Amino acid sequence: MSDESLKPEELLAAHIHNETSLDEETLLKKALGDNPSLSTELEEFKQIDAKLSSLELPQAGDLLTEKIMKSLPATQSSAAFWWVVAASLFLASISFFMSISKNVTLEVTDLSKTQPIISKSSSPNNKDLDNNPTNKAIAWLNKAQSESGSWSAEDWGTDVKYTIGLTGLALLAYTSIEDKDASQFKSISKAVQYLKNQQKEDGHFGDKNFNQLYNQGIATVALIKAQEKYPNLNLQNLIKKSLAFITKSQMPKGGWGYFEKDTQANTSISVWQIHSLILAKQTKIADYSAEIKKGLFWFKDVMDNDGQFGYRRPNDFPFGRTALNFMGSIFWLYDDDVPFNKAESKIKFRESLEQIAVSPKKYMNYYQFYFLTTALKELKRKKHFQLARMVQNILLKKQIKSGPMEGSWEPNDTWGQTGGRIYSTAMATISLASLN
Amino acid sequence: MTEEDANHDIQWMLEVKAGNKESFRKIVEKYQQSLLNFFHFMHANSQEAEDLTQDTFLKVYLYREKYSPKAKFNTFLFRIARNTGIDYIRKKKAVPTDFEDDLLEDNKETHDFEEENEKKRELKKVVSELPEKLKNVVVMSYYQERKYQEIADILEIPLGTVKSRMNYAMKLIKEKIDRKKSDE
Repeated sequence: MSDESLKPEELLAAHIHNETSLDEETLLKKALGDNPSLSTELEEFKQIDAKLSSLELPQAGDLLTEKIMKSLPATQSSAAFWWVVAASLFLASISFFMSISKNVTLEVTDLSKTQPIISKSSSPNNKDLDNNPTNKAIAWLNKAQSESGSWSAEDWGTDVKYTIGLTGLALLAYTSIEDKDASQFKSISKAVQYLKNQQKEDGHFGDKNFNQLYNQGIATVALIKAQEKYPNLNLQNLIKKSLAFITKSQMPKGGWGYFEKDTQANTSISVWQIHSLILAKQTKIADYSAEIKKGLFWFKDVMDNDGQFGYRRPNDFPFGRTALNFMGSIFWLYDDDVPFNKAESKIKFRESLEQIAVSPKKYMNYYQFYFLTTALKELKRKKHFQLARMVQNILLKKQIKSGPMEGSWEPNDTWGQTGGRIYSTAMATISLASLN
Repeated sequence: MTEEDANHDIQWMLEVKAGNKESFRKIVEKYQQSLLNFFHFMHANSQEAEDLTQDTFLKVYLYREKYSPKAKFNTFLFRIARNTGIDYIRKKKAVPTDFEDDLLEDNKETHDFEEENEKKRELKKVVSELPEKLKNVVVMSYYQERKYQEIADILEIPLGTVKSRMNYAMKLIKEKIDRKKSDE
């Protein structure tokens, strides 16, 4: 609609607001002189204008400012980054939990106090091992590990505040594959030592200003996995101290926020903490059943009618809903009393998954690859298995085949800028390992 | 909004892009009331309006790399707010009972000015029940103090459309208030 097409009776509000052009004003004045009912209408509009102007609305206070500032991620997309990684890693546990729930004996044996535990099923010749994509990835991660034992975010182009989280992810990659040789165990031991050095008296890792509970959750999950795979590491006390910090930071309603004394919980952080508590219980390191249950009730509170988990409450998806759909996996993972309908959640989870899996290329993210490969495999249907292989092939093609970065993956997906090459390589490695 | 104001916004956003969170705080302080008002008329109760305001700022922060000084920050912000609001309404399907709840909440705190407040509550309800297109221009003009041209830029509609929508909105508000009076 152009300005010229407006009739005088359509210009009353604009006139009151001093928004008419000179031509419009001339037109309106003439019409007001010619038409007394238009003048009456103008007076009535002025009364409405006065009423609208006097309407008082709730005032934003300093508290809202602080709440908003507190909700900001450390850097661009970092909250989303950790969130999707969290959702993905939940799936990583499917195999583990299933094996626990079915009482399957893990193929690991403690060979000595000073040597890594080697999987009995791992007996390929050296040539096969060298060409194995996950071994190539681990070889790159070996080279990328810093002297301190960490995988330094700064060294690989991202923010120092992610170092503990990225060290946790790399450690998870190591624990996801079968051991090749003692060098792997050496890297793991160094990483564990680094985390030990970072742990403070109250159990938290690193600087409390650096994504405190993200780092805490990831590191704890990784340590439990490491302890599970290498019992001779004797990490129980380290883990227990960390769990104590996690439970101390749990909010009264059951969720967790960014920091120890946060006032607002969100799913992305809570998922790491509850994941670590569940793992600790399953591996008999510590039994925090009451805290787990409280946490699950918090998750129930943020779940909508479609079985999807919101970020802070139902229908809250500031980072998209794709990853959130998959939180349904929690219902499979925890066999104890849960406040959900497990069968219903499983169906919804599968439906979401199949929808995504139809076009895996559309979701070229390492976390998504990981999620798809692990979850599709676990669905145990032929079509799911085929889709998982398709994703695996894409991933294999993307692994760098030569040069100094051989064995790693370019951090060129959605979260690559935030997580860097350590993230992309760790996630891709865990994805491939889940299909072996 | 003056040219100087707009320049401040641009400067702050560039600082935010460079990693300065304190500049983002200035933006939040400047615009939070305006966003809160905007969401208040989207059938959001007080808590939801705050949450939607928070979500909008979070998105602005996450999309800060996409902000270009070529566009007014104001326009950038309210396009995000509008989309956040549309998404919210789509999900919620604008259930008026929430607005009623909000009115009840207000009611508890305003015993002394009952009659006056009753009229204000009615007016709020009338505005919140306007068709979305009309409500947007009313809220942006009255409760975000925007010039018509800014509203046109944000809503991506011609200036003339803003004028006619505002006019029609006021006409509808008047009719609804008159109808209520005659019902009493």
